[in-house]
Amino acid sequence: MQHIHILLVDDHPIIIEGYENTLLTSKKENQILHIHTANDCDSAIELLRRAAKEKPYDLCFFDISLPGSSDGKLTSGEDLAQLTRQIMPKAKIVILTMFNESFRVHSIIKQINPDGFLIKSDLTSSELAEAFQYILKSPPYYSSTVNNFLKKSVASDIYVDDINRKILHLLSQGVRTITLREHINLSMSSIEKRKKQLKLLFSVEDGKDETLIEKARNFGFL
Amino acid sequence: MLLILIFGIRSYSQNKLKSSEYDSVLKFRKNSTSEKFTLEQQLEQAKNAVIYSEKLKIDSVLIKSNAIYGAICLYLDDFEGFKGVNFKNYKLAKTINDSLTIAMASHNLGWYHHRNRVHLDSAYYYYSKAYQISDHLDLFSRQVDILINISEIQNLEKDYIGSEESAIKAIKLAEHLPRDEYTFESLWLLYNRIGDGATTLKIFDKAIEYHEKAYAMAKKMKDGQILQLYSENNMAHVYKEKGDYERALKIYESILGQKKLFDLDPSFYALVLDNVAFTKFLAGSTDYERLENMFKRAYHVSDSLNDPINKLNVTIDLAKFYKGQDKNELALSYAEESYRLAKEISFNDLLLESMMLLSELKPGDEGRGYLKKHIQLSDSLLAHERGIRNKFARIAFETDQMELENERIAAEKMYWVISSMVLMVTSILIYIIIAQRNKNKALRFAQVQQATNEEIYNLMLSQQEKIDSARAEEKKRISRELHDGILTRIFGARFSLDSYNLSEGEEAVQRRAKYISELKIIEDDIRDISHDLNTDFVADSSFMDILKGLIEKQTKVYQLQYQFEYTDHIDWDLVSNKTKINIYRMLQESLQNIYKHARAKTVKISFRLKKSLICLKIIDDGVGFDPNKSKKGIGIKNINARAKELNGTVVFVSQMNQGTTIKVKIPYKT
Repeated sequence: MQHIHILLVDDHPIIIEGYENTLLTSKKENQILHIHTANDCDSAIELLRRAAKEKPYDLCFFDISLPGSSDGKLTSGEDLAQLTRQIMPKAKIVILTMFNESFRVHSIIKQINPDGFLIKSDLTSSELAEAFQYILKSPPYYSSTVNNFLKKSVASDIYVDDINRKILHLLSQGVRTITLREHINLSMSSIEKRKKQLKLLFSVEDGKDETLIEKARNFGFL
Repeated sequence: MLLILIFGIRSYSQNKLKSSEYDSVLKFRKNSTSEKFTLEQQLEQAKNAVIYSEKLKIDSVLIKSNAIYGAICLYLDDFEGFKGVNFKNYKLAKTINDSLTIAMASHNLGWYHHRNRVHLDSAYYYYSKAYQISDHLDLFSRQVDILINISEIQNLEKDYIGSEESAIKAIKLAEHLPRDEYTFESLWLLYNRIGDGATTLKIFDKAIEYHEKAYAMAKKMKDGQILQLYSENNMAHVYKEKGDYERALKIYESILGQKKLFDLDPSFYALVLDNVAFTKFLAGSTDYERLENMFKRAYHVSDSLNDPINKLNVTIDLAKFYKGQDKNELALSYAEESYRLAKEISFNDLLLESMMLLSELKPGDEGRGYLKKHIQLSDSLLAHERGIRNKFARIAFETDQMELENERIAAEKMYWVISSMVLMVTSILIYIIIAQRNKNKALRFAQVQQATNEEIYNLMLSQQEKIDSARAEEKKRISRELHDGILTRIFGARFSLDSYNLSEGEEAVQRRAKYISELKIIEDDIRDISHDLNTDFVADSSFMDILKGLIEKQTKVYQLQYQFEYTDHIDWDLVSNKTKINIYRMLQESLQNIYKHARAKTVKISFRLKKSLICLKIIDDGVGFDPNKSKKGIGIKNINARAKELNGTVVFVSQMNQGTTIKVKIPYKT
């Protein structure tokens, strides 16, 4: 019999219920699932630390947006994933998120390199079941949206570094150029310079920010 | 004031000038100068013109008519008439201060007396007057004419020095005149006069010099031939007096040698002939027969010409001539004739000479009688001369006095002009300064207005900015809510339903029911969000928020309680900024007034919309005032002005100790 220790973290109990139900109903005969759940960072951290001492998890499912830890050090599922990488390196990490923007996807892959990356809007219970088995055997498993993003940015010759991606992302969120500085640790002039570069890169002729965002979206950078 | 006065007089005279009387004056004047009439008829017309002018009672018209009348009198040799008219004009002109007419009339009066030879002192008086006035008017030509006459009078009265002075003055003035025939003739007269004077005073070199000048002047003239001859004759006379008979004779003979001299001027011919003969006699010629013939011819010519002066000259010369030859009988008869002639024409110089001759020629007591008479006459003449000279001096002194007086008056006038100009310039300057200052004040006021208006505009702008950022914030919030809340929960419900999709049994049914009810909750949430989106929480409140801010701030400072009510029916976005600014100001002004004067505790402010009018009501519970009585303060004036600017109305309702209500009504959509 295969004992599999699992941690599910999501701030909505209803979602955890769904995950649990799906995993339990779709598991193989020879698999015994030990599932822990948490709704916020604090309880997740507690579970993780305890598990690291006793029995590390085989699989951790993290939502990205979570209520932060009370000490303010950890604010999201990304941070939990990084903590997990430190304290139980063997645990496989699956990110389950609502975020489906290219920037976020890229930054998550870059920082965590998760074994599974599922976008909630794509997800069905059968896909989760399939992904679960796949990740246990031969990770990674990325859901189709993530794969598409990755394909697109590989296919295009345009290289956009992280900061520029962030700029594009913020602009697409409607953040004004003046307030970009509050989000990016760069001087105004260098932000302007980067914007100019981006406009050149995406051959934005009319110089408008809207056109830049539209083009970036077409190329899959957003 | 002065302008109106002048205008009045002018219009008054003009009315008169349109009258029929004036027309007839003009008609008569025209006739009086028309050559269609005889001189007598012209005189008649001129007289009529004078009569009608007198009826009009306009001095200037009368003066002109008189002048015309005077001129015709002159043509008709009616010298008394001429004098009378000129005297009238002289008086008239004096009353209306018409200097030109005074000058002309006194010139004419001077000429009248001059011509008459009776009252030369009067002539001198009028001439002096005319000269002095002409001097003020810069009438050089007239001045020269007058001076010629004055110098002649002085010469006649043996005031040779005065005569010379006048002549020299005239010569200097003549420099201003055009170099024409008339001026040359005037100059000839003047040089000749000086020459004559010098001859009489026996300053022969000077006499010759001036006669030469006169001669040169005559040469410049076109018709100066006879004048040249006169000058030559005068020069010869000088030489004769000097005793240079040879030179005198030479000149005399050259004059006599002139062809047609007799035709040109027979009287002069006679004079020269007499002079030649007498000079020759003086030079010691013994060709008595020839000389006698010459004298006789001169005598006959003079006699036939009825020229008493010349005849007198010749008779005296003849008397001397015969006396020189001891032909006493003949000498006596000519001397007696000369005595008679001289007496007739009252030629005193020659009368004296004839008396002297007679006293020498007549023996005994009769001769002594003539000598006595001679002495008496010369004494009286001397006394007369002295008297006249004194008189001239006095007239000259008086004119000088008047001159001084005039100068003083002129100086006074000048001071007046200068001081009034200074006054005028100062007042203009002061006016400009005051105007400028007022302008600056107005400008500064406008600037302050502008600044305050800008301030409110900025206030509204910043308010707009706040609204914009609040909107953006709200947008973000809704987006986050949709993303994190709704989407996640829908996902949760969908996913869980999906996971229980295949399960059967009671438990699964219950689970699904739970998720379905969860979906219902989500529906409500979405409705809420939708509602949030639909109601723009910031719309329409911006201007009221500004006012609220103002009221809060002011009432806090002034320690007042306030109530602020406003209607949502006014869409302030449709109201112009100008209106908003003025409403803001009016409210501010009112609050200030309440603080300053009302001693109120509470203030109620309300905005309502009634019949397309924005109604602002500001009610306080202060001491109140009497809106009819009290002098309107700047605050109330400002409120009125602002309401007027918006085509609105303001009503102040107040009674003592009953608070004040200000009602402002402004058109909503303009």
